[in-house]
Amino acid sequence: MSALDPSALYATSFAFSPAIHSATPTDWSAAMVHVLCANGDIYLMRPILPLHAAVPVTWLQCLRVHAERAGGQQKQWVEAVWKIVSAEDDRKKVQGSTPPRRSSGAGPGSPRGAGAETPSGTVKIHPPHLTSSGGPAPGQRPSLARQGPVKYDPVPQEVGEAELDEDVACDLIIAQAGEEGETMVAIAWSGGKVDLGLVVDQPKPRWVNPRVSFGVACV
Amino acid sequence: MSEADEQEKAVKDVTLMIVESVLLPLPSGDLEAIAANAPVLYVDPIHGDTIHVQHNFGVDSISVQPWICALDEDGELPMSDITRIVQTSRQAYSITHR
Repeated sequence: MSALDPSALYATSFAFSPAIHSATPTDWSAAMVHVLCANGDIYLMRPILPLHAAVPVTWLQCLRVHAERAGGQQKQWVEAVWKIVSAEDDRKKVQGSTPPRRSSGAGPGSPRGAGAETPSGTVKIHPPHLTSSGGPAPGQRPSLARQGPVKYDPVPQEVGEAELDEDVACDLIIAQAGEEGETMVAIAWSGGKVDLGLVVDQPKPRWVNPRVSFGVACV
Repeated sequence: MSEADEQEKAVKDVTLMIVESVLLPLPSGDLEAIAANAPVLYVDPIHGDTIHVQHNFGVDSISVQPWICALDEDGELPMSDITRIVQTSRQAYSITHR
């Protein structure tokens, strides 16, 4: 049905998992993005990292534990990220031993976005399929798999007396509610309906091209 | 496993449980206004179990606290609390949407 519905082609909103706001994330959920389409379908992708991400070291250590158990491309991705961390450490050591050059720029001559101080306990990383400057990394790398549309169980109820022909799913929010840290999801529709639910499953990170491995680009 | 099988398995891994569907008290007679409506959701910065819905007709607040606290209990879950906290006057709406 989703494939025949033209509104399934339009993304109207997206939301990161609430774990992204945690000071001590422990699993893949901190890097997950939910995307809402106009017909109410929700797709997931992870891991999604900003280009200049400063993440807690403890998170990468937790991911390493998860990935060791899972193996495969999860382990390769985490190892590729740790190589980026090591390369950044090496670069800082070299910078520290080199006297700063005179430059007309604002900084000591280092490339934009690199070498900036990160808060204590965090490290600067970038997605392994990109270079630190944002260009595509050399070599072939697997792309993230789009997961979904998610299955609603139970399905949203029909509410209201008349069903609008052009009811559009407009906004999506994922939040941690309740004392047990339950993850709540809310979908707002243009006709005034709001679906409220709970995230039950934690999907695994997935990539397409399972036979392509991760390398690392430290350009 | 082929790529198509991998993708199908991935789809089956993900479930969202819809606990409740609520209908905000929008003016049902004004279909043109509802067609132009694009609600936006915000989480309350203090109460994580409350979300605010900003729409063309004002702002509604939805608290899921009644059923979030009752998830471990038997029986039917209570409904969310809905409060209209901002009401857009009809005149103001007409002026901004001419």
